[in-house]
Amino acid sequence: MNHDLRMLRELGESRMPPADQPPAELRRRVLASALSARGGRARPPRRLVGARPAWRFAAVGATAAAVTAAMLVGQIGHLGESAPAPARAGATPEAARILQLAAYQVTAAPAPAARPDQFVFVESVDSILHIGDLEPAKDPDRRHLATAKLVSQLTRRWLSVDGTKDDFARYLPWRSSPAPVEQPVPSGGCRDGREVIDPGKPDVTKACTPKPSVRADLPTDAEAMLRYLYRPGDDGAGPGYSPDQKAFDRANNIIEQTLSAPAVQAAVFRAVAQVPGVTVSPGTVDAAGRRGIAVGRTGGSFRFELIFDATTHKYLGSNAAVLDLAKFFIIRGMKPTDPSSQTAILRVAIVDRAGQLP
Amino acid sequence: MATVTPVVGEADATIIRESWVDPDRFAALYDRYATQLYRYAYQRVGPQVAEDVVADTFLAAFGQRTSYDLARPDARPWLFGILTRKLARHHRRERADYRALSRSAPLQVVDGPADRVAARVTAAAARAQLASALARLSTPDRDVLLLFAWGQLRYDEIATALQIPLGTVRSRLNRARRKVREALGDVDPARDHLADDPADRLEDDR
Repeated sequence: MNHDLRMLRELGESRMPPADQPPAELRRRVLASALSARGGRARPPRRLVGARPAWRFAAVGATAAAVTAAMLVGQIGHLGESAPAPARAGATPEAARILQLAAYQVTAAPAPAARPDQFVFVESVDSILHIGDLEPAKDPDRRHLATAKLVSQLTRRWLSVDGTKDDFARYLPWRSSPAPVEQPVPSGGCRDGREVIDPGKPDVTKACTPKPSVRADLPTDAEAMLRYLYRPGDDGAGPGYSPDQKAFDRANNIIEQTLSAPAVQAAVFRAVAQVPGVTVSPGTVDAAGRRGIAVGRTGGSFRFELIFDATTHKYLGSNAAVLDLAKFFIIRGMKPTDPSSQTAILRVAIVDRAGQLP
Repeated sequence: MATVTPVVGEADATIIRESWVDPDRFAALYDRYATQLYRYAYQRVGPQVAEDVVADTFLAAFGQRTSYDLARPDARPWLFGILTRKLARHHRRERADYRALSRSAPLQVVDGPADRVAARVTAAAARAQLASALARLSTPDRDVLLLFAWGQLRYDEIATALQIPLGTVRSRLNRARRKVREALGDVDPARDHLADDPADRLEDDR
């Protein structure tokens, strides 16, 4: 009775691929293509800022191309440091001095007053490395030839102070970079204990607790902050991070999330001064082209840097570099130490409405 | 026979959700489904195009990952749906392939004892008829039939993949199977009743 289906399945069997698995090259191609601009764009994550697990996602609403470093982590995670932290030696004296000065600077002015119904406005320049024009190289390591360019955007974000209103962001062109193609949608607000999961489906909600953008739950003294930076868990960063690198990575995330909370920022700077392996690189340029002095840490395949004004020690932004791109790509026009993602903070202010400029 | 990878460990929806903010998680979805998607694409359009459509499918899925319905733990129908749309561009090629198969199959020279030769020729002829029938099916009917027979999707999974009602899946499948059986020369009036089920007609959107 099922003669037709049996025949059909036999025909299907005769048309099976010779190997059980798809070609290994296909996996590489899919994952590499997802890095290039052709890979399609994801809408920004629900919470515009808080959800970012690591600063390798420099641009909010990053394009697929913008997640180069993140995708590579999946492939090279095991190359990272794995040794446990040595006895606490702390940052180099020079790095510690800069971080202490930055802590003084950030607390020199009082914290901006913010009402629960207001928004924290953050204006930043976000740059991300686009790797494109991939073609297989005739290369024993099966690398791809690629061109790379740093693409920037001006990002304006409005973050609900108490977390009950939708966050909002706007992406604008920056200097020679083209206008960003993707615009985020308002999202993340937790109203009356419910939040919208997918901005495209406003009727579908789930239970939530508001996530204030001015976080009152973070430590403001250095020792407590240090314990917080070394808390268990890998934040989805993969196994390649040493505890020290993870602490440094987390420090940057906290800084980006607490730009309107100087006491927390000061605690972060003082805590980072106690993280081993933190060194100074002078003459670092941020995403907005400002020259500063960087305090950074290299771990596994990554170097992360916090950039400060060389004179005032005001926090300017951060750079991140993937140091072993050359394992996967032969990239024209790029040095291995060039940043693969950057964020420069231009303005932080409190405003009444989403979309309002200070 | 093709086997269906069971969902072990985390639900696909969890992986997709995590990939919103941590895109490298998407590799886990590739590793879970690439084999069956590739096999199905290979059966339909052959090796070269199969690689392209599977790559396109995962890239499209990556781009659409934030619009995935997280209430569905199993992403297999979603991925097969994207793959089906990617295959649509290659229908002409696929049909030409089936037609070529229908012409070439009976001409194969088989050596051996006469009775076995006869059996093989019959089988080859039947296969030619089958390929010819596949070439003549409408694209929506062929999609449903092959998702069922080769992709091994259930009716409800096909409905999800193609975003059509369950009744439409049944009516398309019945129609496609009836045409295949006609081509094979074994018309079964009892089964043909199913295609005339009024419930199917009501839900049929074609």
